[in-house]
Amino acid sequence: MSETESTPLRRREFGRIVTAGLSGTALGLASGGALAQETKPDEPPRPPSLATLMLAAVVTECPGDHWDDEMLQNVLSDIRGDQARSRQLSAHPLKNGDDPATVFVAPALPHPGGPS
Amino acid sequence: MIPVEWAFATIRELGQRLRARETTSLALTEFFLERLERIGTQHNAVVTLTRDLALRQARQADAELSTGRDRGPLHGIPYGAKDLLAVTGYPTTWGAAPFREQTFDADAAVITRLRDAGAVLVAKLAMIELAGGFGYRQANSSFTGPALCAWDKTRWAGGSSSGSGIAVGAGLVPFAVGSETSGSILNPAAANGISGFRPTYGRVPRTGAMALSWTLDKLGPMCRTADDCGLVLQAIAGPDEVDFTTIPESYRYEPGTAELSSIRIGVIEGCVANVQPEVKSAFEVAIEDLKQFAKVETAALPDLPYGAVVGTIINGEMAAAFEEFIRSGKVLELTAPEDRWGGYSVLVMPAKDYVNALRIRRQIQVAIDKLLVDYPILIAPTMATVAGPIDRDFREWSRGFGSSPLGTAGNAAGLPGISVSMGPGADGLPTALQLVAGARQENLLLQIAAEYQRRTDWHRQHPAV
Repeated sequence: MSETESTPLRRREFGRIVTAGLSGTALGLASGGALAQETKPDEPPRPPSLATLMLAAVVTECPGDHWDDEMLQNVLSDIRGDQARSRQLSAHPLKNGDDPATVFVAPALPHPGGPS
Repeated sequence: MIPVEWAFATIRELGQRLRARETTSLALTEFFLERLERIGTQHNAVVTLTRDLALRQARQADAELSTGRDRGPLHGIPYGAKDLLAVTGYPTTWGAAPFREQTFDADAAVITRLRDAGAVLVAKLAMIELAGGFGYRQANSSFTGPALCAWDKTRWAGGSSSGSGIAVGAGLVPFAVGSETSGSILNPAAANGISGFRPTYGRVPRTGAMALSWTLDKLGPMCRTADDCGLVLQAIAGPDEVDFTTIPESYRYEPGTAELSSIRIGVIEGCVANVQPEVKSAFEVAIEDLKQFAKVETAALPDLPYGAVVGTIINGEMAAAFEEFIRSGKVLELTAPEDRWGGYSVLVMPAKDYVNALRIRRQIQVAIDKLLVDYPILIAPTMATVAGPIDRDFREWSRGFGSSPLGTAGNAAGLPGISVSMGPGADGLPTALQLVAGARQENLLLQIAAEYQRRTDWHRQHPAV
């Protein structure tokens, strides 16, 4: 079974992921370790989803005993929602010259020795 | 003894009575303090009564008026402030349990400006915890309890400036100050049948206000009428030495200067496609009222990802604003369960998403500016439904309904907007009309809204409280 939008995430399984750390190459991608998604016996291991890796990053960054199944599932759902929004933004055509509407402006401060 | 109907008087009306010596600021202040205490608490509208400060300010206002010093239209008028505005000597809770003891050693800029205008602060008003940035989905999302609509305590008052909406709607203060990142002034104004005004981004300084999203947050008045909104806006607007995003020019409220018969009002195409039938009916009547003094035509809002842009910007900025709060685990003390986890995902949002949202935001600004050349005012219903039930998930009761993206687009582009009541909808609850204008076009917007209110009396209707 591959990981999908609706795949539930169990705390014990996820604990293995976090315990194993976040080095995808070492843990999941190459060896089929804890981060890898479930596959059939004759299939090569697939890497974990980006959402799962991001969740692992969150849990690593904000450790605590509040990470029960429900909490993990809810944050994973939020991450997937953010990814959907990200895809929506990426689908919008932007040219290289389309600059962001930032609030930064270079202040017009008086130059030393210049007119005050 | 203040007549109970004065609870629903406008700022101008109360000011006239003050100057005619029919009452005093102290009497008005005690009148509204009593209503806040008796009625406000029933609606979960109040966080803190600022009684001592209010009585002191009211006595000063009366003393000044008696010696001929008149600070202007707000002199001696009581008001309430959303509890994300710092007031020295009182807690500033941001509506959130982890901050219920928080204090600041300086007043917010708008509090200082209203004091200088002679207004009397009577209460700090309830709000959705942390202005709703953590993704609340039901009304019980403030440590002061669910905000109960001024018209019906089984309905939600809207958010995040919930207490400000209730307090004006129920006649507990003549006006209030709210804040809007995306919808937080206009939506509670709609739910409570009042006039709520969102100024141009940068028009009002946010110094001393809680930051949720630096590039989207605005402070604005919530009043009985559009005219009152103009009076309050003039007092709080203008450049600020600390808030570098403020517009450098000062603002002067000048109602009634434009020739309205030549103004083309654009009705957002498809804006009633998914609204309650009663909202649609009220909106159609409102269009006919507007046609009495302006041209009203259909206008197509450019097809751009408004929601994704605003959502991404809020997430990116709140992640920075509240990173330590989330990391420390304090977030787990919030009231709404969904708010306790809603801050985590944003910590790992890719930077390119935030930047792309800002790039599209620029396109939104340009596209809507073009539309505003043809239609200086754009309108749509503020909300698709009347106030929803207090005890159900928003996603349940709003299923199948949807408002137009005009509000989200206006916030993305930093444009001013106002919500005014357009009459009763389902169950006799208020429906509301939203009007949006170009950046810095507050006077035109207020003039149109005031003219609409001059020809209708929906803003005069109020709940029996």
